[in-house]
Amino acid sequence: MRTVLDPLIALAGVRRALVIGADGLLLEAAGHFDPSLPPDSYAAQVVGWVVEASRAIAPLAWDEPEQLVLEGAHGAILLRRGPGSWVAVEVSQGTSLAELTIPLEAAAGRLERLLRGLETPNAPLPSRAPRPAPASVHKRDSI
Amino acid sequence: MRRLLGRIWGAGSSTRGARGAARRVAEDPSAQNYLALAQESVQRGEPARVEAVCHEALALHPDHPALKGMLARATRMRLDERARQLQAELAEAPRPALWRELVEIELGAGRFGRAEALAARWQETAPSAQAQAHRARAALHTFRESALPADAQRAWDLAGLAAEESRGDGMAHEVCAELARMVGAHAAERAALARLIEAQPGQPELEARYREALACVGGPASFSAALEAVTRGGVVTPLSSSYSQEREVEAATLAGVRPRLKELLAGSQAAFASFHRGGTALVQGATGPTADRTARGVRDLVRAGRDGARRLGLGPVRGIRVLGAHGDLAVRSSSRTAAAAWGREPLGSRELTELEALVEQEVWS
Repeated sequence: MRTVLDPLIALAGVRRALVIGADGLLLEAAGHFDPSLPPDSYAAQVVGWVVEASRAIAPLAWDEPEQLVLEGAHGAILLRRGPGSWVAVEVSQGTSLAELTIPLEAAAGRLERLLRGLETPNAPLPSRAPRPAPASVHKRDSI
Repeated sequence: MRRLLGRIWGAGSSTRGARGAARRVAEDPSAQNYLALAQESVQRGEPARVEAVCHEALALHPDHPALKGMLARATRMRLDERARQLQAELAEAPRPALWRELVEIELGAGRFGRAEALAARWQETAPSAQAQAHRARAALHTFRESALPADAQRAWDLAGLAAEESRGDGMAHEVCAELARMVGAHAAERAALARLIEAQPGQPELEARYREALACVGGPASFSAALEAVTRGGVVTPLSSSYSQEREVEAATLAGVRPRLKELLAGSQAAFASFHRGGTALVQGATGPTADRTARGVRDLVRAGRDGARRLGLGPVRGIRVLGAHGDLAVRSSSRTAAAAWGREPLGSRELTELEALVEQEVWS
């Protein structure tokens, strides 16, 4: 699961990256988290917002969203749907959101391949040399 | 020597450029030519001249987003410069008028936390009801943005202290009345308005507000109880917008928005666009129940986004984007308004810039 988040957390402007189950349970998180909003609570809040947003557009008979962006004055959260889960990144203010679309899509694709067993979890990334995990990687039970 | 010559040559070419731009405006006073002229003044570091050019251009091309944006930036530059001067003057010879102006500048720039900190320093160095009232007003602005109950309570407490210190201070009573109205503490609102009328007699608008408050019966007895009643999930959902916000809404006409929505849809990927302010929505590209449903969906999405952004520590929401099989829905939002566009294909930068211009907070204009 770390192979999904490592390329994301290495990007400029990315504060934290998470893989969250569709039910709001945190699967894995990387980056720095405020003690007042630890990874578990953060993941639940993110999915809570996704549910509220989906509920808001439900009367329009639209399908479940594939990608969501919530931009605030102090930063933004980008989410990409994966199989039964969400890949999320929080970026600091001023980060180009357009430049994160492809890495996020790639991360969701990597997650999907990983879950289907097409990729070994510890395989090195093709574009980068393997590197140790960030000190603040929070690991949860794998799915 | 070469550098000096370069500077002289650069200044000469800049002057020539400004003259050329001014000549083009004289020949054809289009928004583009005005923008080029303003840009020349920006390069010459003359914010006052930029403002003058933008004001002149906006008289001919009202609601031009790029001109309004440039005017806002030039005004901000000028006021930031004034704030630096005030800081220097305060270090030498502090006096209430300087503190007041500095706090007003920070509030106008939307830097509410900084305004509150400055007012607190003012209160520390020269304690007065005026300083306390400004601090309360800054806290009220912080609350409007954060919607956190702690901010509301702090603003209320500070305003109460200022009002106690000087019953004739209108600003403190105004803050109390606004806060009480926002959380539905009708008795507290009536009391604050009564004191405000006492401090500023003969204002029909205040009397009308008092009569309106008299019509609101019941409700929680105290401000704290009312605040608790409107707090859900750690976030306050105000029962009504503040008086000043309502006045701004009334003053601003929505008439200019519809042509811009039409313009947004013309030759664009977007098939639907809407503009929202309070309970009012203007919709372009959809009619009847579809328009109603979509407008309601956008409004609920913005509301969910505002709550979500606050809970996640992202601050006031600025934008939401939802992509999927349905297409691309982009929303830009300010504290008072929101604008949305939807298209089957992903929306481009033109649509997003237009949406941004529609919701631009005109704090500087």
